[in-house]
Amino acid sequence: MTTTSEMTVLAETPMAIEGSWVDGEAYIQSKDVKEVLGWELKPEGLCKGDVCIPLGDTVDSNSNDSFNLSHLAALVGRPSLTTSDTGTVTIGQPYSVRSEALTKRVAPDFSLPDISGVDRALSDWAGKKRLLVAFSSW
Amino acid sequence: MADENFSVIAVAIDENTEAITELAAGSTYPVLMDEDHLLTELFAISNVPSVIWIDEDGMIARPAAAEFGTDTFTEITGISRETHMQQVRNWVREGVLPDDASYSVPDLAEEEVQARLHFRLAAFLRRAGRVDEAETHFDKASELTPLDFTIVRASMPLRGGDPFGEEFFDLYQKYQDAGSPFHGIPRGAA
Repeated sequence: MTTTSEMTVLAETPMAIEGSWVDGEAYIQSKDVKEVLGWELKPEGLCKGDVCIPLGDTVDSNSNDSFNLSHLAALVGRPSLTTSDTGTVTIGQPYSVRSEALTKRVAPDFSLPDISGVDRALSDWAGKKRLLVAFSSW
Repeated sequence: MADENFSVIAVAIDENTEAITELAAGSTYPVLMDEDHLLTELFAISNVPSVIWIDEDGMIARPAAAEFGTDTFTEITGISRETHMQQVRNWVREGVLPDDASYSVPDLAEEEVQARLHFRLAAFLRRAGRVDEAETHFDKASELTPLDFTIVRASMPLRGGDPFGEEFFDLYQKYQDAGSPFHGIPRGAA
């Protein structure tokens, strides 16, 4: 027997969803998969655009139409950290995005707020040479 | 070089908007806040400053290196900017790349990926006022990557420590003893 409870998913932005915990593993309902991962759960598998990845036997599911979130993340090539004690699942960026940056030199686009709180994307300066400077106050 | 089809984009791997706003006072280029260290995942960054050159087509022309593109932070880092700035000028004006631009930055190891997730979780928990839980995950992140500045040093001010104090010098000593490992072009590489 599983009970639903609030679960925090830290993916692109923190979101609170109804999920369930079974033996320390996080399960989310099929309807929430798209919002959490950007991929939609369909009969064919996890789909985005024309691409579908069959779930095969790598993704555990349970009777109330819920799916193991870390398995789903792994299927679309993203690392995750499940911590049932904090009620949180943290999902990292796709391995392939960083790998393409390092081996094929494709700069991944990203969007972040500027110091005035306005969202800015790397692609806002597309067509220009850009010096990306990572710095800090620490 | 602002009108030469060129732009500096500064990204603070930091959640302290106040401190960054102060540091960036007077800057003419955009300064973005990356409180979740997204760039350290996307580009395999493990220390700051890290400067990446990106061309008109969105391709990485020169991968991460410990340089500054502006003189705003030179005082803090002690890194001379002149050589780098000349190289940037040559690239912007002539399309010439330095020899070290072909250096291949190694991918993150799995423990470095996991450390980033623990750090992000810890930072989230801390902002939610869940300080003890945050400590657990800052600890785990630092255990996984004891020499990663974006993990260990970045967490110091979030844990009541001093990123310019004794614990930083301890980290720096260990880092040097280990051969200064970081994800970027090593000094003097060509």
